[in-house]
Amino acid sequence: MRGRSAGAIADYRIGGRDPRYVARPASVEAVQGLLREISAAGDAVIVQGGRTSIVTGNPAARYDVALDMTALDAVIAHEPDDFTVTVQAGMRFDVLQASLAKHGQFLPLDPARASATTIGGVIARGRGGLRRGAFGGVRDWLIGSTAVLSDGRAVHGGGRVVKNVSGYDLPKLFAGSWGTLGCIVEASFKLRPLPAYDATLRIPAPDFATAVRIGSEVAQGIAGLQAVIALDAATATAAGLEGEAVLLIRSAGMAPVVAETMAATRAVARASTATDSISDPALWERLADLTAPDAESVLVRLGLPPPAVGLMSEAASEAMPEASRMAVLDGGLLFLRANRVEATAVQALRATATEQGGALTVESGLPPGLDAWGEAGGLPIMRRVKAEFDPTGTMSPGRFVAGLEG
Amino acid sequence: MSAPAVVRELEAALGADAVIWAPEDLLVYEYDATIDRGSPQAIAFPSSAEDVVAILGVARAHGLPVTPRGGGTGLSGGALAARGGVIIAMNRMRRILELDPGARTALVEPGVVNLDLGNEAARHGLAYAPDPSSQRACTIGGNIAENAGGPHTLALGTTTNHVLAVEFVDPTGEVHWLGGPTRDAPGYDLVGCVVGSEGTLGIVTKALVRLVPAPEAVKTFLGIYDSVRQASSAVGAIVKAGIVPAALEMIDRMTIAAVEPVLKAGFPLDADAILLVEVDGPALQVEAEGEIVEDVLRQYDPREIRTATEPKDREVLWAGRKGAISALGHIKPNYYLLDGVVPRTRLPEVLDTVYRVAAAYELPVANMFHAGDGNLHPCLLFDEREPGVTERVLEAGEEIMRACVDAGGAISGEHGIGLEKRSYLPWIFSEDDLGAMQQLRSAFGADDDFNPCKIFPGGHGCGEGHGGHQQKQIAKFGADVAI
Repeated sequence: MRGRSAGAIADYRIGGRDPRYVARPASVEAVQGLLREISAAGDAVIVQGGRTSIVTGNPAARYDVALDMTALDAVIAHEPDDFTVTVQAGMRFDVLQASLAKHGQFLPLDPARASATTIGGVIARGRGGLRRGAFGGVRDWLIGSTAVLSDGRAVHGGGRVVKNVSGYDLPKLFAGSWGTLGCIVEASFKLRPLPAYDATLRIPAPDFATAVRIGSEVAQGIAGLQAVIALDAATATAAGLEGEAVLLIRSAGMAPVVAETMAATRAVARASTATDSISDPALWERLADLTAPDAESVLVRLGLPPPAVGLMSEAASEAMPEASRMAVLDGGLLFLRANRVEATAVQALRATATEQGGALTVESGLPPGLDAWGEAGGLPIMRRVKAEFDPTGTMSPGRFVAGLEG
Repeated sequence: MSAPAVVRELEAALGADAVIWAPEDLLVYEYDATIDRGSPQAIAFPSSAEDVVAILGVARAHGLPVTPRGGGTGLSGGALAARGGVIIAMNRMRRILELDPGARTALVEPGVVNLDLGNEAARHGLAYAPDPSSQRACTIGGNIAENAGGPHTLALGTTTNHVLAVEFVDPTGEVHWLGGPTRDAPGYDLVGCVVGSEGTLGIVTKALVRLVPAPEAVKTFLGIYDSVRQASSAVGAIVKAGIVPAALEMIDRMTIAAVEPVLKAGFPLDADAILLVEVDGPALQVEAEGEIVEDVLRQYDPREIRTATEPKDREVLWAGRKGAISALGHIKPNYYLLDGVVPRTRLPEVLDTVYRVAAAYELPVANMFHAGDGNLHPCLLFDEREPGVTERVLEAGEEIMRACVDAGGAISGEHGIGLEKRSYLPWIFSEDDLGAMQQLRSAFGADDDFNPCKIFPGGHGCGEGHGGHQQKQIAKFGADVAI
């Protein structure tokens, strides 16, 4: 198994470091065997899927083995009438979504680079996307999971039913654990029916601040929207749109309901009826991709209470004046992308975000000496959780909050 | 009688009015809404996290177990002092500390009653989504412990989807803030671990919860069907039509027989199922979805369909579902309420098994269930004065739970494992799964004396017996305490 079908070692480089070897297991048992071996040898492993967030996190304390999960890519069970699906963790997100769409269903998460990222990666990040104001995050859709711990035990939590209080909610522990507690091998999700009609209203604005202000009013005033997004000129251009700033408002459901919602939105936004309403799924994929970290630029992500986005956006234009900006007004997100950033600017922004009840992560281009995640509440418990689940410090040591090592 | 040392120390820490220990006063804390019971030595009522820390310290010094408790409406024995000791009753921490309509959040103490929060939210055009039927008596702290659901969590999710952050005392007496005002708090999702952990990982002393906009319009449909299968098919067709209703509930023939003499609603006693469907949201959406729901309901050959949009009229339609438990007393004085969950499409066959098992044990059974999410609540009816009947009830209950597991389901949808179902947990989890869960409990700092004998099988001095009285809770809190 070792190395077979895996690419060159250099394809698994992280932060300028190559692993000693690559393993691409094709079964849960193989994952168990590998992790048992790796932890017994005192080696450290970084689990990888589509590597779309591989640049995110603190520098690894150690990195010996790349565990490539992409061979575990099967749908285990899709029960369309029960609105549940169980899949292996290495399955690509867009492949799953396409197979669900054949049954008129979808998993309402919008990961960046859906054509590369895997289910395991989506769970490890634990995040919702541009529609998170309407649909929440991974924790709201994940109903069961199996993960292999560094000692080789496969542990399962939750189940395949949509409502469940049987034992501890291990799926929530693994969602958002960034590969530091175990290797997610299988997951069950509940699903949603695809809406009959899905529309996007595009409202031009003279500048980003205006787009944010109008978007906040819309987000606060109109119920049932799926996303309210403001883009500055640079981000709009990157998304294939034009204008100094653009507000995008997404509504989905039955056609007459969407039409009425859009009319109400136009009124709140004081936008002319000439503003166009389009149905453009590709646009939303491009927008999601603009939230992806990459090795070439700095990406700062702020998760915020929605009413605080306006204020943070102003703070950001002072702290990172060069950065291009995208804001999710109903879901409370602000993305800033720049060529470089000073650690002090990030620290100042983080302090303001924390004051507002939010959190700042540096998704890529982490300035030296800075923590990618920020201060975690309950850290003493987190340390003990890490020590219980990964006492050998095998799983991505050093990469997560406070450099948790195990 | 002079107070024991533990009581004197608790009184010194909290004040004399915050401790109960006289045997006659302890009686009410011996049970929740299950048929188990446990006898505590003292009840302590904290007013703050610091008080909770103090109580943990005193109990630890005396080697006594502690058990947290909210409204005492639980349905799995979770609030019982299984090995005696001190019950930490959160009922006096019942302030709504902040309600922020802009952020749509509320900061509450754990003893706040669910409905009180709902009413306060309603004044701002908002709602607190989880609505267990015991909402007039159950507390937010208890809801967090059990990850409480309710009829209206089909579209909006259970408690875990609505708790953002908690102030939390771990079993070692450390106070933490877990989570944050958004889902972006760095680190592991410890809030996600705490919600639904049945009070076995620590004690929540404040909670920041999400509120949702109250729907502009609501429409309720009631369909009467000749068979559960017809009604179940209607449920499947509604879901297939791409509608996610706010609620999808069903009651069966035995339940109809129990409620009709009380409600005099004109329900036919020979009908097998009554289906309740509720849609809510913007008025236009409710109208459009309502038309589809009504069409679907008609396709499955109902005897009758009733609809309502005004709150008063909707309450009438809900009365049969919400008053079901209390009405069961007209058939038999006692009941044993089960909480199983199966994939929704397996409901009809599992229900057939429920009827078959009940018949084999010669027990009447009434069914009321959350049909939309596959959560069934069979009630085995009996008279505890009849010799040997309790054993028969428990055996039948076990067989029904086994059928849920065999159908790919789980052994609790919303009531928890508690004391009652812990011996069934190995049916759905391996030794390694349970081992990892126990490790999570250790990581939170819980030992054998913190809320002992809950969730996990075995445990020192826990025993496995049943015995006690659900009915006293019903008498105390009213009818719908139990679902």
